Amino acid sequence: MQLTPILRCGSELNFEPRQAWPEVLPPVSWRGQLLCGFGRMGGDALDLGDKLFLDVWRACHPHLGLAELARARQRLESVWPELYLEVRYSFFSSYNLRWCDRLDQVLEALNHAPFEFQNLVDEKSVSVRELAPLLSVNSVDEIEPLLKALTTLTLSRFELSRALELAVELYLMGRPLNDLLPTVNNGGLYVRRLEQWRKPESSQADEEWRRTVRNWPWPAQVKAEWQRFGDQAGLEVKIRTTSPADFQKKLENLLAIPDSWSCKS
Amino acid sequence: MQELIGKFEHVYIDRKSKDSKLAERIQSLFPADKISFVNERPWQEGELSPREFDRSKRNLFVTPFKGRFFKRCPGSRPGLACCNYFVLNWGLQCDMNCSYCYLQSFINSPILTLYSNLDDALGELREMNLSEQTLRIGTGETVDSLSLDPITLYSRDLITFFREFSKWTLEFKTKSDKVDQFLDLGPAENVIVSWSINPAHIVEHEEHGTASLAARLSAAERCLAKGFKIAFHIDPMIYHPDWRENYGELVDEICRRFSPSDVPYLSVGALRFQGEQRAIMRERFGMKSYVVRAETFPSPDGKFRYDARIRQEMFRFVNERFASHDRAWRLFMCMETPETWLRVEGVSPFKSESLQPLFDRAPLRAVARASQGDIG
Repeated sequence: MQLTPILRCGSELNFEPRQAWPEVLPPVSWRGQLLCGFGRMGGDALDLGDKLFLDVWRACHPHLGLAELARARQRLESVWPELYLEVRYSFFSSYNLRWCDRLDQVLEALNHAPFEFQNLVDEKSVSVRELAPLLSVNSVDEIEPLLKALTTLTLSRFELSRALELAVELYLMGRPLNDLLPTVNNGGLYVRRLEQWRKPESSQADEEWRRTVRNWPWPAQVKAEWQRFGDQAGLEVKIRTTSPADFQKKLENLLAIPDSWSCKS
Repeated sequence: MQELIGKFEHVYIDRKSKDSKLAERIQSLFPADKISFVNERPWQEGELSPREFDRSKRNLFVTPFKGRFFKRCPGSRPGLACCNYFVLNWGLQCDMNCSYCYLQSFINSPILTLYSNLDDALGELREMNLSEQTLRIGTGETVDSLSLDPITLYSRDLITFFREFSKWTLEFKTKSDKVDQFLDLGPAENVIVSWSINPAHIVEHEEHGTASLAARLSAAERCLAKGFKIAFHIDPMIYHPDWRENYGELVDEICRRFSPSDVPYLSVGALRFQGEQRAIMRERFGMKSYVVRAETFPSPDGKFRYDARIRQEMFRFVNERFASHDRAWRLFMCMETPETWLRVEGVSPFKSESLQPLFDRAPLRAVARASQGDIG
């Protein structure tokens, strides 16, 4: 086992991993480049240049997020282009990804996204497919304010991917980016607003129905609401009842509703 | 023919197909410098990027198919009223370029593939020993039935084969006008040539590289004149600002050129696509496409569709427009729920007297028995 002074190692592969290399371990180098512990200024690195690159890399970084991989890919390709071409399939398969043109495009786009958005992608474990909207714009720089704004919201992974897709589509449909920036911190509300803009006809029809059914002659203790169930919309009715006689009475009163519904349809 | 050949940058022939009729024909049609003999398919399989998908349409691979050719139509999913259609796939990918094409989410093959062993497909059908069953079989699921037919001439083999099986019906489904290569064979009672059609505006806007509406209808007239049965599929109907006017004109044009007795059946269907398809459609066709900008929602079978009310409104409109010309026009809905049937037609397809033969489950059971349940 060989040790090399850190100062003699290059740190061009510094892909800014989210987790710091443990202080108690020496950094690892491979053929003159540090593979981890990039911030260390002094001491020695463990030189494993006699081992296979992928084995050493995987040992140093067993788990990486998509954005970390995007940065690592970029550094690796620039430092050792031939090695990258040779190992890219195995490199990505170590992280359960299949190298293909599509993956390459998404990673390239992700590299152009603001760093805080990249971190959000890794924090929420966003998938390659969920990042596809980044490929629909001419350049990711165009939507930088949007990507930065998304990092300020409280969002689930689903809400993040939905917001990204809806906002990008609305932007491509001509809506100014400023309009699309969130004005509330609540991710769920933001996604709902984008949905309404993206599907104006259905949203308007649903809203109209919602208002209409509110005015129908509902019996007491019956709650009814116009709801969307995927590609269908309709009534959801909740009945609170205390006895068979009460139930019967409410059902009889409910029989007036189909008339109101037929008139509206 | 030169226009068709000019679409392709290169043809790769699998050495295993070298002696096939198809390989021989391709060598007689394409310049030698456009043909290479290979041991394996060029480019790797996997999820295709838009540029790989586009490239896959410009290159041709001829190879034998190793799996089962004969499968059930993908419409046969729980919850949908399926018309018991079977498919025989002799290729994969299409030389045309519709924005809504489901192949964008379906294929992972990086090249337009034509199978050189059609004889094996026909042998598979023969061996199923179902000559007494009423079967409807189409060839336009994973490849257009006729757009490449001037190259393959498979229509001629298929027509000849199906003449032996009078209870089976073969349907060619196309968006091309390529019919002249088989018209000299004369009609076969059980062969239907059908067209997927849409208003001229939609053809221009969404069905890139296909024959114009007028060219498709003229091709249908040529088939009819030679005694072939024809059918039309107004599918997928695309919701757009002038949809009433455009679909109304389309129906009027069909009724002007054809009578109900010329067209044994007509189907209608509305836009539907897998969620995974949205990204590639957006990248390839942009948000100006009516399909990409459509307001769609996930339906119970996982596909994205227009709101059920819009679908019903569109179907009802087309239905009524046909009826205004002649009540004898017979329409059925493709890949729709029994609920939509009830709302539009007022009857379940399984109980409609005129459509009962299309929705009869007996052929399905017979095929399942013959193939021990394995029919895709």
